[in-house]
Amino acid sequence: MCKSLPTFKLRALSFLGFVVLQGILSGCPPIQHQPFSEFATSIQSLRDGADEALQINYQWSRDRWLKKTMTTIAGGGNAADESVQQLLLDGVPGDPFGWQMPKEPLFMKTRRFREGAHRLNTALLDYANLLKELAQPDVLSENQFTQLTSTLNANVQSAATSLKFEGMTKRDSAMISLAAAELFRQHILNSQRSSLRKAIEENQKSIESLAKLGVEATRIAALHLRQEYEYRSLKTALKLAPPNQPSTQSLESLLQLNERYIELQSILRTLHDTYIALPGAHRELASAVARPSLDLTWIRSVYENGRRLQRLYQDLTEE
Amino acid sequence: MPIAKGKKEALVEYLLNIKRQGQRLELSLRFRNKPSEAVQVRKSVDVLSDAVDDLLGALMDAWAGKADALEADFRSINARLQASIRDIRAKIKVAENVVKAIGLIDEAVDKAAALLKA
Repeated sequence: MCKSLPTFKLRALSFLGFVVLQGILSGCPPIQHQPFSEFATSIQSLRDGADEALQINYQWSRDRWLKKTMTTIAGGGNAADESVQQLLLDGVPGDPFGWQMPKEPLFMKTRRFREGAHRLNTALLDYANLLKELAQPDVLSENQFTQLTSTLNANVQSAATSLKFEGMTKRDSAMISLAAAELFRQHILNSQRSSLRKAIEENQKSIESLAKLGVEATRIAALHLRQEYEYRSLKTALKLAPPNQPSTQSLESLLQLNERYIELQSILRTLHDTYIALPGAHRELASAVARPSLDLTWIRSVYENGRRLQRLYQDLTEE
Repeated sequence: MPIAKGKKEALVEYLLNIKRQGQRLELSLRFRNKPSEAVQVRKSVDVLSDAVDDLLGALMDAWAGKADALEADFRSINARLQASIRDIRAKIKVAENVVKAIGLIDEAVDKAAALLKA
């Protein structure tokens, strides 16, 4: 069973040579993790910003509906009857869990719209986080790698002793273990890289569809916000007109409303711009896998928008 | 990525512009102490506002239908990505198991050697 030392060393050196060759051929620098991380952070801000803005649309819409309906009911007669009738839910034939309204108020549609946007953005966020996970530089962590190498080393030494490779030094076994672990690391990196590239390329079209829907949603939300703002602003402006006594308080309310409206529209515009930049940023992720030194303009733009959104809705919630 | 504005969206924008003009008129009439004319204008503005609500509701419903379909697409995309992550983790596990297996073989060789000596 005993093999000569030169044969053993020759095999070990061939093995090392193969590992080095593999490294050169694959030419794999580690995957740039930062673009994936920035992409996921931006999507998180995108979802939070959209939630915040659409929640305000829902609240303002519900508030307007309540006031308008109360005025109608207070007026009595057929209009009051019709308003109250519309509040009663009916069943849906063939669906024991279903419900329907003769005329669903806008605020209820707004709530569904908000929930739909939240679900879609959550699916996008899950996707971004999965890409981030797949691009983890420590998919095989340094600890795991050291552990793997040292266990392998101990086993190789033990095998050499058992098989009576008396000429093999500790240095020989350490080199063999390190080379084997490195070979394995390269294999994992290649799998990681090809899975990432495949995912990004295959899903580009879906990202484009989602971005298009996102842009559409922000435009609808902006129009809706305008509708709600116009109701509120007129109501406040009328407090300054006869027969009312104009007051600084009413004037201040109108100014505050304007400021809030401008901030909300600014959030929606940033969301809109982020969705516009989304396909470019996603495409750049593929470039980040292939060429780590590339300038990632779209990702940078999406990331900056994300930070801006965070600031904007923090300001809004602090008010 | 140029995105064409839909017809309904353009109509909402148009109606909002007219409605705003109506609101400005109502306000001016109030300042000129013409409350009955202001009420007449208000009624027309309310009709416009209801039409805008209906159109916005229709836009939201249509959007929600498209979003549901795309969300399902993303669920399956995410399931595939999770499978890729599992696959890479499995590869790491295989390597760890191979290393463990080498250790077990060593033990077996030691035991065999001990038996041969006995």
